[in-house]
Amino acid sequence: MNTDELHDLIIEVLSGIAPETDPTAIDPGEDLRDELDLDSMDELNMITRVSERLGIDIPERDYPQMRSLDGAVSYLTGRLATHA
Amino acid sequence: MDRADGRQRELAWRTCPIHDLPRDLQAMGLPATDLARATSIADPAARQRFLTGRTLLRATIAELCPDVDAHTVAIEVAASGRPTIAGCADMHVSVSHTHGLAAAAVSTRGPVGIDVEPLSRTDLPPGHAWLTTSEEDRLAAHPPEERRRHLLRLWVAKEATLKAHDTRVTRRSITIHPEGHDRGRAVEAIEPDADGPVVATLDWERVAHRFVLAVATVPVEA
Repeated sequence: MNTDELHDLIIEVLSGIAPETDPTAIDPGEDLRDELDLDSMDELNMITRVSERLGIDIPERDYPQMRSLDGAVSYLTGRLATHA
Repeated sequence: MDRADGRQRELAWRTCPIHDLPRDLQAMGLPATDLARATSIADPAARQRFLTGRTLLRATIAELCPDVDAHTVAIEVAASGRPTIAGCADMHVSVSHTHGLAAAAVSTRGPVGIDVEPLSRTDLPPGHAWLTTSEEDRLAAHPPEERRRHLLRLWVAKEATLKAHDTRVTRRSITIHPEGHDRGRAVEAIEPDADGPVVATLDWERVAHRFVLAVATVPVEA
């Protein structure tokens, strides 16, 4: 899965978690919690759904790397590479 | 504040609606530093959450520590987002907001965390992402109609514990042990689901029949 596909996957997951927002309009470098008014439950739901869709484990200690859209794409790219 | 039994009170928390401050909080006012920070928050809803949370926090500081000038004490925010009180290393604070409610906790006992969620919330993450095996086993022993309520109690307890610790613990590295209706402890699971050191003591409260709240304080010796 390339970075564009990862980006689209995260946007799709976020659309399901925060349907009243427009994840396509967020600043990709900013904290998703601020951009979409996500709380910790939303954040964990996002990570578990992405994890399930990709079929990879995301350790809890790595969650801070998923705080922005760019950060999440970068982290997942590396994580998928180690699973390949 | 002294308690009726003569011991010094070490922990206080309080809640209030984000858009309907009680009169004593309306009258409290905020220092220019807080108002300036509020002005920098573009989103009106986020700005209101900040203003209510900050007012509530200052009122709770005044309640627990009447010797401190709660109106002017400098509240700083660490990189992690955790609020700290400048120049008061022994005073620990925490703030939470959810679905129209704000909550603030102040502790001189040790680091503190507070979390609150509405009882109506149904979008809890899957258990494997945040519950230990023993918690899942305990949950399964409850009738199905009671499980969501217990799940929410576990969730706020874990979130409060994470906030109190700031780092180090993770959701699946601690096991919550309720001890009665409104008290409990968070125990570090060094081995999977083994009882380890107590990483936080817990208080639960049901707020206005619509929310469940947990306050975690880290024991001084932890």
